[in-house]
Amino acid sequence: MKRRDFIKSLPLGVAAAAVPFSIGGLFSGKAFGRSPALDVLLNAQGNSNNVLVLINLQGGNDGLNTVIPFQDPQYDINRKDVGYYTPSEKALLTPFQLRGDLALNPPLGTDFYNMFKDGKLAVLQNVGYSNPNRSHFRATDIWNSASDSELVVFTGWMGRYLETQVPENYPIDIGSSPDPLAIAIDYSTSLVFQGSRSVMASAVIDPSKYNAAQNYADDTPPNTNAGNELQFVRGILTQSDKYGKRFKDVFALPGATQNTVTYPTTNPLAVQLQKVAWCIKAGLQTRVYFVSLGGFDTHVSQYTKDPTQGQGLLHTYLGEAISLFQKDIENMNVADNVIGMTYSEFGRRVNQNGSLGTDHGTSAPMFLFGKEINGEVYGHNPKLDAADLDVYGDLVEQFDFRQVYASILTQWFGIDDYLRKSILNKPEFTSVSDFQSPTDGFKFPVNGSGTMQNIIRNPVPMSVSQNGSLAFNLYQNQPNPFPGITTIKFALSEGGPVLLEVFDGRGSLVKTLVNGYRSRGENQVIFDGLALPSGTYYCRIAFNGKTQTRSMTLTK
Amino acid sequence: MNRRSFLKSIGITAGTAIAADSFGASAQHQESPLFLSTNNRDRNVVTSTGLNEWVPTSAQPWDVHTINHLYRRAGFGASQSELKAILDPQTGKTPGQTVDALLNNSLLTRPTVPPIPTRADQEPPQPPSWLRVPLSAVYTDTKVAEADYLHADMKIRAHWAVQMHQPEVMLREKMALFWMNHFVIESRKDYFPQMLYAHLTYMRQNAWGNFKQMVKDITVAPAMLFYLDGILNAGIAPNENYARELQELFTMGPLDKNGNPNYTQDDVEAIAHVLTGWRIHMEDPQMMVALYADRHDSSPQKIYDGQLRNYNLESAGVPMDMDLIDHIFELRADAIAWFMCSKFYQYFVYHQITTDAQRAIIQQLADTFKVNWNVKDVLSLLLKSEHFFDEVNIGSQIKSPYEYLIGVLRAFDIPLYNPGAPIDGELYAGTLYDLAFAGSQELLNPPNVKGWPGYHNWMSTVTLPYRNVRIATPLLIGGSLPATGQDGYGNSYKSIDLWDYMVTSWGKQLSNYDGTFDDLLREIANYLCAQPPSATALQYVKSQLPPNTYEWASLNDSEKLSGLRQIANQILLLADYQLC
Repeated sequence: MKRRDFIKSLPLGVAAAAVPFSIGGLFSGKAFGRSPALDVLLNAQGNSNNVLVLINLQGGNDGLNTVIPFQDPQYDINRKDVGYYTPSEKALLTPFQLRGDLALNPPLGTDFYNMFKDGKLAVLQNVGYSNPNRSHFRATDIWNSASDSELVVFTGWMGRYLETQVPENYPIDIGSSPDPLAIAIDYSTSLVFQGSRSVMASAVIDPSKYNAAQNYADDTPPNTNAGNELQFVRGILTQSDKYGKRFKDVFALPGATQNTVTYPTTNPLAVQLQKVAWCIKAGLQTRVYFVSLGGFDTHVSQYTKDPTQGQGLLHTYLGEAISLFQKDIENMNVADNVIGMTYSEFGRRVNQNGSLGTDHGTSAPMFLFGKEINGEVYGHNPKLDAADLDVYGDLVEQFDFRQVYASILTQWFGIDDYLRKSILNKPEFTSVSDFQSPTDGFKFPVNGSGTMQNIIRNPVPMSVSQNGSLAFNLYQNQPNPFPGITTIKFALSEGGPVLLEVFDGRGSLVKTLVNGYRSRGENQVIFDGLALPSGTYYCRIAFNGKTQTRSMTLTK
Repeated sequence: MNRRSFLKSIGITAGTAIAADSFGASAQHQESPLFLSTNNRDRNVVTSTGLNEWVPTSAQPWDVHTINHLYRRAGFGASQSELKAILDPQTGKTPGQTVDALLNNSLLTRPTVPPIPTRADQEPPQPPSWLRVPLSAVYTDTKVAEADYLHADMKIRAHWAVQMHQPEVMLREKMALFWMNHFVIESRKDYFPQMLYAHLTYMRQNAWGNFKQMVKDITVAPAMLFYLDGILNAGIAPNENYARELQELFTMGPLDKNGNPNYTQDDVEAIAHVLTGWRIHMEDPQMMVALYADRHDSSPQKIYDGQLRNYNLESAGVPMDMDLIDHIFELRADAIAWFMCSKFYQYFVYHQITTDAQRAIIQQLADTFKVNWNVKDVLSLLLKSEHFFDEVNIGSQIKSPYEYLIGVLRAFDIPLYNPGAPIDGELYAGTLYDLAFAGSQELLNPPNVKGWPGYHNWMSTVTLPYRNVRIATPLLIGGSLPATGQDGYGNSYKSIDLWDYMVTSWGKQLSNYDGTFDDLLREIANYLCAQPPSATALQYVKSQLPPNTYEWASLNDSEKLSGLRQIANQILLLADYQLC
């Protein structure tokens, strides 16, 4: 049983008793759009109802011509041909100013700009990471896996988060949610959803016309390459079968595929967001949606200013699609729990190239939007002076992209610090009220009452222990001391997401033994230390927001 | 191994009937052991195999299972008649001979044009007009019908599908798919049909050519100069597009086998400088390229080792002296050999490289490769090896849309191309194009410069039901792959039909056509799937069939026809069928 179901199934009196306990310091009194008490009650570890829409801009969107520092003389010097250079060109920016020295690229459109005016659009400047990679594919992987530049990680940050929400043998067992955890409006899913055991998202082009594959066999294939691949295909078959039936039911309802705005069929992003709006309106319990727009690799003839071609056309698509989507879900009264985020693998070189385009660069702005987003400009303008650029003439990042991820994980999905560290593997990216630039000490704007402002207006409360009956125990490993291999047992009072990790004497993570759902009762796992040096190691379990640690001695 | 000892090793000597194995071959089919020997295999076995040439044994004979493995990986699967020909005591081939026949160099130069008919009413072998005119004529030459250009890329795709369907050139076409996904171009940017066709033809002609020469040729190939902006890379403000991908995607990859960077941003910029100044003669029907001194930066550059060198690229108009590429291959030989052999390994054996044993095999391939960069040497070594035939790897790849589609047609011996009527072949192939496109693979138009990621990415909750609901069941039960498109001249694509007589002739080649239901089911499953489906899976298949099917021996031919369609359809719907 999943945590949420467990809480729902509690006798009402027990649940009610937990409520006054929890609200206390967690809310600053702002209305949330739904009952805070209910929220606390239902928000187990990361179990908010909140929805995130990921919008991937593929090819490397030129940030300097998206959020334009048009007063900077260095901008003029570097972007004579591909930017807003002449006085008449600069005049075009006037209706799109974010502040006196910064404007949105006009093809993004008035409706998109008005989202900023209405406080629903946040602009995060100079987001990147240290030692940036300029390869499309490596950089895309870095963003999706949330890895360091030098580290190759084969799972995605959303995949690592979502797999804490489901049984271990997902998707053969899809758990209690009738809907996909995540939906990619595409032919296949992205690395961002890759979990350590399986893909945590389902691909769908049009959920209202979905033809499900039928499921069969539940035997276990052999542990060979071929057997593992068979299991992979069967997992997809199972997802298709189970979610397909659900789509059929949901989208057969009258009005399920009606929108309150018209999404132009010629806008490739709008037609994807239209499907997302259907799913949200239908009440799917899907937490994350993925849509994408390609073509940003503008080495040649960038056409930033022209809304009908090049980057200008892509910005027309982007601004139109997002503003229509926001309007649509607001009209349908389902916008309270939805935010969106754009990301691209890199921005582009400060100095234009010889082909009226720009080559691969580094950090760039991100957009976050939604009713619950604090619409502001975060961060200083890009620093374009030669002395401030890296040796290749590229921008130096102000924020690490994992700070943005950390904000979403903790403030929007409500996971606790421990799980956040595990998902991002970067303790320093804390974010909650500490979204601070690692390079120059910049902090978020301070609001009228003098407190630090979050990107999310009303952060979801972090997981709290609502019920004392959720207990667990980590037993001493057997044997101990151990010559190489040892068994670690732990017991859970209820099934739920468990994180079990081994650290060495310096506190560095050696191995993650369990990261996912474990059932009620006694569980065990083998730890193989044959390749490790002798010494003291620490085994730590995290369950229900609490941890317990035991030391183990490896003697070879 | 000579034929006699080979036949001995699989338990057959010429003229001797083989005893039925324990899975119930009926007596009258003893002379046809083809489809009987796969049931014994223990799929749990984990072996440690290397690159020694594989010799069939009684435990792992050269039979439907292993032949089809080679045919599925090196091509698109074998028809029953091809399987029988290979095992024929008189005309049969050993595994090594089969690989050698696929790697025959004469296949590289076998002409593929003409005919590509430009329109349905045109007499072959008239070569299409768009292949005979310069790039500058596209959309402007009134003598050339605009429709020819607008739909020429479709002709090329259709023609390619027809080539894939022909068993003799299947490895050549499989390598053409590999190279077009390696030296990537996209038709959405390289919209000139001449350019697309020249690029594809080059990949065919060099399917197992010399890799170093290929890199030299591709660096100044019109399609690549156009695609990665080489023709715009000029003077002191170079465009880095090609210089980066030359290293990252086309030769060595970002990291070497130990995870160290192969190159730096400085190397990218230096190579971009060296490669400035190339242009394409748009007026020349041959698409000649030349180096323009006024656009070329001839200053010395430091690449990899910090030494300033002059690179000789100035011999405009004659075959280029590519000492830049020589330098790259000299200083990064190990990294290039490792990167490319890893890709070959992933393509032909298994996409995940996780074990030391796999790495050792790739290193051996790399050591062979870097001697003279002949792709053929590596392919021959790999495809004949024990490791390639290791049971652990059989059935471990996920079929691409074209592997799936062409594979279905070949498994049921459905003709696509009649040499006497190439126009018909093209219209059929248009239907395949439509189906593969919807299944996420539009030939000549991969999603980006890295090509299709393939492998797990072919399989999703979109593509899997598409294959089942739009291809398998319409063909097997409905009897045809419906046509939806047009060739651009008003001629509709033809549906691809599985007529009753095809099903019957296919079914009657099965050893158990007159046998029991269980044996027949196993035989069909073992022929269609790369690994025998589990008992649970076959039980599920059985549960989906009309109960009278179980009394197979008592059915008349018409009932058997319907039964064969039902059985084959249910097996195609198994997860097992997605693997090869």
